[in-house]
Amino acid sequence: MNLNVQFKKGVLELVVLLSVTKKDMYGYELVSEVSKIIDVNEGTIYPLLKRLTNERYFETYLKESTEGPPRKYYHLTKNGQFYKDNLKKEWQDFHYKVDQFIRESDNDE
Amino acid sequence: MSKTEFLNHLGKRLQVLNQKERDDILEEYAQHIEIKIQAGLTEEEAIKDFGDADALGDDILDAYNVNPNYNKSKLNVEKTVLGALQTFGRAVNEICDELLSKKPKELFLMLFKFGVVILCLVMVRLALELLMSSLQNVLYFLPMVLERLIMGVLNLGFNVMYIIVVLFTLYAFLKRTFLIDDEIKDEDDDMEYTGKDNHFNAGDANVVDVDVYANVKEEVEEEQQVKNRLHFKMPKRESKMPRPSKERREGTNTAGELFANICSGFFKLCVFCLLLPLVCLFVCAVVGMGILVILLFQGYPVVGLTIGTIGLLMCGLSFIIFVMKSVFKTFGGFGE
Repeated sequence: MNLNVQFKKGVLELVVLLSVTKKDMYGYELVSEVSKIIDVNEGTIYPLLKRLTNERYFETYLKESTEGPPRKYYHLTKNGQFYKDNLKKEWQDFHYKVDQFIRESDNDE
Repeated sequence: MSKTEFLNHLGKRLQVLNQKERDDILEEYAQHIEIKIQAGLTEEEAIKDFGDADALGDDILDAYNVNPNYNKSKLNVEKTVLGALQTFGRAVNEICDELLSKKPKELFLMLFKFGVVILCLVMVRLALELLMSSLQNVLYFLPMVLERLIMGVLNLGFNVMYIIVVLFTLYAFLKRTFLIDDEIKDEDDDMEYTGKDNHFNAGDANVVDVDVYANVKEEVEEEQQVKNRLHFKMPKRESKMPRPSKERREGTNTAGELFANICSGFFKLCVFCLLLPLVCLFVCAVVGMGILVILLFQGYPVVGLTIGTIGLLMCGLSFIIFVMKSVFKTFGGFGE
């Protein structure tokens, strides 16, 4: 259980970055999109957004909405794109290796 | 928990962050809850999805690279600092009352005296610096190691001496200015400590001065040692601060007396520890004086140095006598 949480936390960043690549999103939209893929406490995604913004991977802007107050939209910067590509590559590499290892160990049995 | 309750709670938890950041992130949560309510959830349910507010706060702080325990330790520190400030405030109050009860002429006189005292201390410091730099110029004919050793020892001794001088002058001045009766005694002690702390700042500033004066590394190291000594002593003094409040809480007269005893004992110990190297320095100075006299007779140009050393000896002697006298005089009556 605890380990699972750690797994999720590690991939959460990648999923968030990938989600925003398609189109700019506002907080709630992004959170619900991400929580569809990874089952995490919704509250913990906001600090991550905050951090990514502070690290200049995201830009934010306000946009009026038909219902309620204006919403803050997140946009992936060039810097963020670069970071995301790196992260994706790293993940794929990592995933491939672990997968292969699992197959090997399955064959051994 | 309602929305406002939740946001307030979280806001309190995030107090370390600056206002803008905090408002920003709280705004996000508020909007999130708002949208969920619009989607048909109740306020309670919307908040429930966030889980424990404290854990969430920790997560947010973690994202900012702030240690979540910071808040908790800060509270303790706050308490201690507040306590110290209160004691200090009371001391300042007492002194202000004292000051207000005096006539302007007396006040002016006192201020003038204080200025003179400070000026004297600065002069002493300058003289010391001058002596040190001239000594260094004179000692060049000695082997490197010996020169550095002598300079280091002298530097340490001078600094220690200077610290004692400043402490005692300030203490004596304060004591004479504000004639203490039993009630104010504790406060005056506190005042004394703040005086010392002020001095520590001044001491550090002086250290910087010395660095400018002479760039010899060894000396800097010695200074560092002195600094360390200062810093070692600082916590000790601060540790005394909570003590009066503890004993005051007991509310008996004997507690005050006990505190006075402890204080005087501790102070005596401090003075003794500081005095020891000074006496060593004095002995060294006597030996050095002998060497200088011999050199003088052999025709070395060390007249100025000899005179300087004589001055140093006189200073040291009178200083030691002064310290001994004031320690016994001051604390003889203090414990009773």
